[in-house]
Amino acid sequence: MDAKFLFEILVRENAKMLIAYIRAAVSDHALADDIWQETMLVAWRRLEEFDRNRPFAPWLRGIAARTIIARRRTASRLVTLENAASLEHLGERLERVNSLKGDTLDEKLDALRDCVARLSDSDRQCIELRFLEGLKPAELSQRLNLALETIKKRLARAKQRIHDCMQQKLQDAGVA
Amino acid sequence: MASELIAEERARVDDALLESLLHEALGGSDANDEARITALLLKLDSLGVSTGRTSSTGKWRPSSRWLPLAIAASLIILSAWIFWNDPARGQAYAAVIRSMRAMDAVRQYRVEATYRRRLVGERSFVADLYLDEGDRFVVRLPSLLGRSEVWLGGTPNDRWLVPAHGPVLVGGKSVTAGWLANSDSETPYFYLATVLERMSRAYDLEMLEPEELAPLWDGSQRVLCDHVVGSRREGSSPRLPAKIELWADKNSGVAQRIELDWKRPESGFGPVHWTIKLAGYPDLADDWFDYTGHCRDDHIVKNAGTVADLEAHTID
Repeated sequence: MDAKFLFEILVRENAKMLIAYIRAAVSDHALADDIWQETMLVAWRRLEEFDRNRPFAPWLRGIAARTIIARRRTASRLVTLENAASLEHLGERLERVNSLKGDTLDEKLDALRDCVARLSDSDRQCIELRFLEGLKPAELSQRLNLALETIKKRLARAKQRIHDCMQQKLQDAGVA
Repeated sequence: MASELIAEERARVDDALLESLLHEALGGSDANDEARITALLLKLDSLGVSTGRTSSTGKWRPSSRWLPLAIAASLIILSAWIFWNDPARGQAYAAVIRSMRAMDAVRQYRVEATYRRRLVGERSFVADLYLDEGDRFVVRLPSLLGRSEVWLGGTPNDRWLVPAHGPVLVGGKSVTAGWLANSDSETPYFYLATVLERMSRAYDLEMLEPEELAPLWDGSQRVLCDHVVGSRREGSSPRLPAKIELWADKNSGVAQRIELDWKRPESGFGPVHWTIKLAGYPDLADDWFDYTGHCRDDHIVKNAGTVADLEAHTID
């Protein structure tokens, strides 16, 4: 089995987790895709520097963090988490999600989907329209015929409930 | 260092992560993930990567002129090894590899796709796919509201989009990704070579009895086809179709029909079924694989740097 094939396996195992990390730090999807590819290319180039006794994902996130910080100089408007400490905290938070049950991030995200399913109908509708259909708050306001402020409050309340639900699930899973 | 963060910044990071995970959990696109990985692998190929070794200067080792021969040889050796161990599977594998290489004429395919989305339910669309002898493709898609058409084309790394209204958009593949995610049309499966390559690597293959198919353009003819069924191997990405069926012309190896079946449960969302049928060998204008072949001379062309640029335009 050649190195590229083995690298592809590592890429597939970590692809989704890495894009979730980058998208949390960057507001533009095209820029996130660019950073994702750049991170993977740097990882490939430096594969020999990787310490095999350590997990791959944090090493990959380290490269991504440096790439994000470098991109801040040319695309500051689109980089929302701009300092190393924030990116480190983001990595720690993502690692907690990684501790949830499931082989892939998609399976681990079942916990999040369950939290969404537990919301009230009106909150769930807002969250699904926002993240499934990708509607912006102003578009949500038009679609649901509600004031923009009401939509913003509803989204904030729903996200807080999802956050609390996830905290409980992480605690139940024994994740500190 | 992270422990020094003030509570407000921690909350901001937590919120950003929650938003990103919600996007992934509810609106994540299998095809976009696959496109990202395919683009990376193509990029590595274009950089001449074959074994993962880098030179002592840290720069890419230049591509060897023997590389294509080495890849062909490894495929032949792999085919021979599989054939030796399991002749039936070997034949199936050989049929897929042959079909991958039978890309030497401009072809038109009819694509019928069915998707299931949350809130919306099942939706279908029909598209015409054109492939040239190289790596260019063009797709005619129905627009979002189905009243007119949209032309999408490009190479594995570049895309252009001619919407029904508004300027032509030209840029990298990510430029059209957002729009495509919303329109249910997912590009990786427009690359038949990619589908077949995945089939050869991530699927257990079985050769069924040859079948005769009637070409779409001439129902009176019959084409004898090898029929290969691929079942997604355990451990392969669950986002890939669970089953791929290929009917390839026994003489030329050209893919006549491909069916992709995700075998989704009723509660599952995403692509459900694709049928891709060869619709003929059209004689196309020289600029067919360029956006200029599908828009007016005075059409405004915009170099769309981002998805946001694209989304700023009404596409219908």
